Amino acid sequence: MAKDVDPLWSGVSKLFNSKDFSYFTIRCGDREWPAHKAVLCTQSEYSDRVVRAGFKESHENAIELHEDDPNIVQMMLVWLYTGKYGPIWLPDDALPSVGGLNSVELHVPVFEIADKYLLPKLKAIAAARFDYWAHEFWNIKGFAVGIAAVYDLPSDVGAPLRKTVMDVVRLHSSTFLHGTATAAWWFRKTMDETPELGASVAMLMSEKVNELSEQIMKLESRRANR
Amino acid sequence: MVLPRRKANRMQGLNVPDVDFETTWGVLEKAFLEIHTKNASALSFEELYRNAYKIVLKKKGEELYHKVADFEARWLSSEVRTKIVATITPPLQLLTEGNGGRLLSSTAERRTAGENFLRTLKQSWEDHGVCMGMLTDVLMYMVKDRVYCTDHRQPSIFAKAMGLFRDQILRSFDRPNGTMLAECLTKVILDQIQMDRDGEKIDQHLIKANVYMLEGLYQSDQEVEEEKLYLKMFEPYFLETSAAFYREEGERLLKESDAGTYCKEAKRRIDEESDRCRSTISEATTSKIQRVVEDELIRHKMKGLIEMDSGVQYMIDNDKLYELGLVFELEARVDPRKGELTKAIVKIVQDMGLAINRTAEVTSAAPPTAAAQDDAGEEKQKAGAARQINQQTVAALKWVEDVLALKERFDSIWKVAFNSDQTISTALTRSIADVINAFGRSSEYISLFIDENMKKGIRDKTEIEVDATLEQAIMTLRYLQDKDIFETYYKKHLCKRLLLKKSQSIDVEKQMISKMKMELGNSFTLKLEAMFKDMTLSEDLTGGYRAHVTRLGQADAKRVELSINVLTSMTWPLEAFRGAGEDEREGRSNLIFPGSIERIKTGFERFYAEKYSGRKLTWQTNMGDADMKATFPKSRNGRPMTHDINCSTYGMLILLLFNDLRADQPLSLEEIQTKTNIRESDLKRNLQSLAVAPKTRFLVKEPMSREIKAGDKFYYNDNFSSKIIKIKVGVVSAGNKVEGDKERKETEKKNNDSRGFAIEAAVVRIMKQRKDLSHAQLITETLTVLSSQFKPDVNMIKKRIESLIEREYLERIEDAPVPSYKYLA
Repeated sequence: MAKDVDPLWSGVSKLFNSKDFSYFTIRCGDREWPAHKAVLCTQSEYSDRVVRAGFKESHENAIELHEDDPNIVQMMLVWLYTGKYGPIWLPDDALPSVGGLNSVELHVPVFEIADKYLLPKLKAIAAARFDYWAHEFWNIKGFAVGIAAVYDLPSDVGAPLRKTVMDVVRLHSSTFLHGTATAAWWFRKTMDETPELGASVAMLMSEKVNELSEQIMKLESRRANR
Repeated sequence: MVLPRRKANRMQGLNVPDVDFETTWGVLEKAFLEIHTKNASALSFEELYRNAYKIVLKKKGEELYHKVADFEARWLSSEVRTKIVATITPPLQLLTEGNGGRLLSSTAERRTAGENFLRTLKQSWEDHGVCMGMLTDVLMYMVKDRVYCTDHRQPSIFAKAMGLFRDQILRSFDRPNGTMLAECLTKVILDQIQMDRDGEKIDQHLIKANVYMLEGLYQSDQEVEEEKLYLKMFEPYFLETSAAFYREEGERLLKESDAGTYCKEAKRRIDEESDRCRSTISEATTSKIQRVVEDELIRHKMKGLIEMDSGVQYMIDNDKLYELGLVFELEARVDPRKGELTKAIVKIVQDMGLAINRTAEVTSAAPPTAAAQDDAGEEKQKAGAARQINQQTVAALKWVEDVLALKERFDSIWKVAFNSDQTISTALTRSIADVINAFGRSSEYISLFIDENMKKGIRDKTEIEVDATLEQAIMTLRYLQDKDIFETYYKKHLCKRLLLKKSQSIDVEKQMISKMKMELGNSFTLKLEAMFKDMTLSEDLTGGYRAHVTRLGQADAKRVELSINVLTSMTWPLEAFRGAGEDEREGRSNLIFPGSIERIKTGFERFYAEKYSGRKLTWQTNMGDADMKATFPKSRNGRPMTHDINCSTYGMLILLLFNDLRADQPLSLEEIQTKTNIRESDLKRNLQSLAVAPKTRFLVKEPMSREIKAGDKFYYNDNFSSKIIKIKVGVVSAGNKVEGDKERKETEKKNNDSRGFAIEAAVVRIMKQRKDLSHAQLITETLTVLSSQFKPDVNMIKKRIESLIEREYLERIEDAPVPSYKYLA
């Protein structure tokens, strides 16, 4: 990790999941985190409103997050307190469930939660990580799983991730469409189940055909000139 | 194989139809109602946010937006509007419906009703703001991240809600065909402000809160800065009613109170209105309302205020400096040039100056008192003439002192009341100058003022006082236009002071010259300084001659000693010594000197010729005087006594004639004239001193009468008796005071001549340099060049140009588009 960590930030980082100075509680599923208004409200506008707006949460000094994955919430909180991204910061007992996630698939829910709670920086980091992993590990089954998650997001929200998927598909289109490896098989299965992915791939292929025919025309005209 | 998807924990995506819009909206709507009824603390922010988030994710954002807007519109138009309209009670209805409304209900009624209305409106607005804040917080996902509003060219939901308040509340009517609530609001505020102006206590914060609302709302949802409701629906009416109020108040004050009170009131009102902007309405209005009050209370009323009976004239007459300061301050607010006040001050100064000038004229022209009338004798008339001259001096002293007092008075007013203002200073300077230059005799009087002070005034004064007197003189001189005329008079007066040794202190004289030098420049004092130089040289000459005589060894007790002043002829205005009607040739008639005198005269001429060859000495015997020792046998109680007599050269010549005669031997007037060759008029005057004046009657006249007539006989008076050893013989009408009319005409003529030369010199100098020039330009330049000396009459310049053309210094350019001249080298 970084050698010269800002003393203020390292101090704040220590507060994560600490009961010291905690005047707020976040609950999600069966998990509970002692939290700190000073940290949350300066990092996230959503938190700011929760604390101030005058609803139940303001009076009870606690928020219950429904319909969120506690592990992903934990990752978000880690990022808010430390600026660090990734499962590396998860406590040991959380590891099995996260460890079970495919790395590529992990970035998609983080991306989604960052969008929901209006954290554009975290969203950008998650998108970048997804892009890296997708280019690196496109030839495993997990990639197909990740694609499915991406296409579950509304098209406008998930646009940056879909672009990554199409970039990778373009690079390896023949492998995905005609290959015999497991990854190719999983890809084609996902395409069957996800009409939008199929449509996107079809568009991509037709573009490729156009490109090819243009190249052929160019070659032919060059030969004719000769 | 199974896909290891973990959908259970994840938000349901697009493909899952588990978000029903109507149901979700229902949750939100119910919550919004709770918010508006102030029950938000039971609601979960998380739940509401999540629901809105889901709706937006399902791309139902726009529907949500409109649902929220509809909900707000409904809420405002039903709940809120009803509550506000309920506060418009009869006193307010009367107020808002007709113009006479203020008269139909009591102030207390209207105040209570108005405050109630304002309070309810304020409360509604603030509640609306708080609720909309909470709503937008909940809708944050819709509002913020998705930039929903800018995408769809809709106002943000918050702005939309503010607009709804405007449309549903302010633009609604209190009842069908009634008054728009915004209009009610404006009228109520204006009514309360009027109460405030009338000195009633009002709740400023309440009004301020409502103004704050108007400032936060716009004509349209585009929120254009210039279209704030405050600017559109309140401010113009406020300014309009204020203008009407102050127009009336100003007129009433002008009628009912004095100018001082008016100023204080106006100042108070202006301050009050600024305070009101700060405390009650909006600071954005400060400059506008100030302008209105200034227009109504100052700009349009300044003239009336100044001309009031208790106006500026009264204030100056009664030294009301504080009130003058108020008038000044008031006008300074609206006019950096203080036009009206300056105009008034200039007029007052000129009026007062005119009075001073008129007094001087009356004093100087006043008939010599009763003495002249009771005795028709010619002697009396002469004495009267002398007194008249004296009266002129009095008039002159008074005039200068009055003018200085006038100036000082306004200087102190200027300093204390007018904050040493530059514009007024300029106007004051100009008016004082006008006063001085409007007076025909100013040059002469200023010179006389100095003359009198040099001779008597400074006698017992300290150095500082003397300096102050000199400064005063210089001050008046500064304003004087015809400096050349002053120079003529000053030379004349100085000449007499120096030659007749009338000056108290030569040092002070020199101080005066150096002050003039600083003020008027080198060339002005050149000739004056030459006069002092002559005096010094003369002292040396006298001493030198005395030493020369002693060396010759003619030690003789009876020898006559000579003290002489050799004067450069062009420098000294010797005509000053000549009486009226004498001309130059007569004045220098050749006297017959007795031997002892003739000897010393020729002796000095020789001595002088040795020292300065080629110079011609002309003896000004009319200006000389002599010290003689004379012994009268019965002077001291019947015993002999020797007196030191000082008399004119003429007097000496006459007395010397009697040295060789016995006491009973008479000389007739004619004999004396033949023996001395003194001009008749001078002779008569001197004889009058020697034989008529009681204290210096060294001669006896036969017959005894005041007037010297042909055939009169004169004897040595051996009965002369006096206790005084030193006797000075005055000569009748050797007066050197103010000029007589004839003398003045002469001075004027001489002055015009010298001006003529100065103009010609200036014209030639200009033309020599410019070669050719238009007539108008030539006139302008000539005026500029001469301005330090005097202000020439344009007609005179024209005449001089004509004369120069005749003498072929210039010629007209025939075919020039404008009349022009050419220099002929």
